[in-house]
Amino acid sequence: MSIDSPTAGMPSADAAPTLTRRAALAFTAYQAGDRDRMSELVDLLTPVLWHTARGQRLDTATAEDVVQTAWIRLVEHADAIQDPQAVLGWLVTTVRREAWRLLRQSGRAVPTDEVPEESAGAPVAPSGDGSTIDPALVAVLHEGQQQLWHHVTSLPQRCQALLRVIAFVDRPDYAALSEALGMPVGSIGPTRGRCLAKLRAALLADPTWSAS
Amino acid sequence: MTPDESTLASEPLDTLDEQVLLTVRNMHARLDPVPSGLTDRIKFELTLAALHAEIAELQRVSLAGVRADDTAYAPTQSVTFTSSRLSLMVTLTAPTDDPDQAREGTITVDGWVTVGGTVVELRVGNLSLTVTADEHGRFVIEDVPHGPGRFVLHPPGEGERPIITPTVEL
Repeated sequence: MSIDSPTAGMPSADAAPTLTRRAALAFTAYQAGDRDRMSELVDLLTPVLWHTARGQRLDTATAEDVVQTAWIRLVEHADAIQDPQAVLGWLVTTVRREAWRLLRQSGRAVPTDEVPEESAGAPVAPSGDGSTIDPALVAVLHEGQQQLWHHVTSLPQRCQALLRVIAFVDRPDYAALSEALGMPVGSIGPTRGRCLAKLRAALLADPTWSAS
Repeated sequence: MTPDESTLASEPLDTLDEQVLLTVRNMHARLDPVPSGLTDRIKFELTLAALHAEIAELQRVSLAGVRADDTAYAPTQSVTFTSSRLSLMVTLTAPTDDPDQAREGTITVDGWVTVGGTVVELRVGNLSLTVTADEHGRFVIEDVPHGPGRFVLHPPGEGERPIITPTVEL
């Protein structure tokens, strides 16, 4: 890797570059005039944005629109983003706000970050919102994944949304991403945080679950 | 939250957590993958945004011929787009009349644009087909696959902004 960006020399520079760092390199090159690097950025970050949008309980068509809108905003505001490391967080925040705006407009659902954690303790059956997964699809999961599905969908909605996005990024990026998702500091990274602790406790208490 | 969970929550992340999150990732990737073609559509939209293109309006769609059902193609369809600087009319033909010529699943686009010499680009999926309209504004694009497509028009002249049409089903 060439050390040509202003962010070279970050602590993570000698380890395998995290998603945030790879995105920062591509975005720095884009800002410097290498317009083709935007394409790389889109390939790199769209999965995280997709799961951010879907985690906010948008149906697939609306999720596509929201993700697309976030990218267009990024291109429009590319010059205003000073820290290339912040690109992923900026996009995730944009997706979340746009999702929130649309959900509020449709009067359909309360955004996950507005639900107090205590009241979300009782799992709500994931029905009637746009993110519902066809039960037939769950059947294609192998046995271990089905058990995991059961435990994940028993978590509070905000935890489901958090873990879904966190699972697509690298550990050093957890804290920043959790913040971009509107979660309180310490929700995940560097410590495990409540959501992952809940899931882990449920899995460990399940005699039929194995990590392999 | 139980005391056990509180303790668990305050511990640093370990390799079991990484395994759990990897399984969560695989589960979501399998259940709800990024729709195919989404990244290509985004890249296309970004290209257009970078062009500062003017968006043409879809003016009229007229259908000649009979659509028996969803699988039988209407033989001819005409679509008109207008913008502040030009209009574009295209006729879409599925060449089913001549079995020798008919390429399975492709159509022919006959077009007319009000400004001669306009470079007409048709984007369908990942495919980009470009022709230049003659001095009268006529052009033909053959072997166009079915699918959602849009036209990008580059009128002749220095510094002319391109014009793009909304997506139409070809």
